[in-house]
Amino acid sequence: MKLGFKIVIYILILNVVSGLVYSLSVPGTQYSYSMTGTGNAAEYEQRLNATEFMEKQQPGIIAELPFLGNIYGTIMMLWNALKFVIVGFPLMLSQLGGFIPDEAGRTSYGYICGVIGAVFSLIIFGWLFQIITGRQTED
Amino acid sequence: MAILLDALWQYLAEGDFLGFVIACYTSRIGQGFYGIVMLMIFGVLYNRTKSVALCGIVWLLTGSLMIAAMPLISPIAVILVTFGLAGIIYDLLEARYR
Repeated sequence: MKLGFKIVIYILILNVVSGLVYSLSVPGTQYSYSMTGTGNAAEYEQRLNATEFMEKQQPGIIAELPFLGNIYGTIMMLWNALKFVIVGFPLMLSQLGGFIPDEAGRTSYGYICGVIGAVFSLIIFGWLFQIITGRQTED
Repeated sequence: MAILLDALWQYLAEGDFLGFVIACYTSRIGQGFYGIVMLMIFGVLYNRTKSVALCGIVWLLTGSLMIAAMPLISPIAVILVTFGLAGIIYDLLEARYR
């Protein structure tokens, strides 16, 4: 196997295994959390006020053209099914990063996970490009 | 009188010098410290054996042991378990298509 293909295979396996670890709830995953609790009950009540929510969120162009909403929803459904294959490991990393107590540290950690996810996506889609077009883009 | 709430000073106040030395790193770079320590061990192991499966098995065992013994540092342990499983599966595929 060429080195490029080895990297693609390892990244694919790593992504799928990351999804597997979370699906099986391997001991230890319960200590990681994707969102940290901020604020108190009163702040939540203000933030999640249903009346204010409805006033802010007016229907947009999607509501006028329902088929666009269907297309968008289907694409999101497909992405939700496929995202663990493409960026499973960076997603797991970002979920594990919820333990970082410092706000600035957590934000920068999220950016780093985003960059790793971008590199993973580039490699996977480069591989798909090679398969679909038949062109060789690696040595 | 100031109360030393930082874990770094707490270790020192309790006379736990080993914990203090570790906390010097963990209070700055978090659990990445454990990752760097693991890299030192497993980098040498991979360099000597050139076997991903062997490293994968040791990662899996180490990760499981860390989850059982030290639940507080489980994020790095979960990463080790993931790398271990992925390494074993990758080695199976790589040996098949070599």
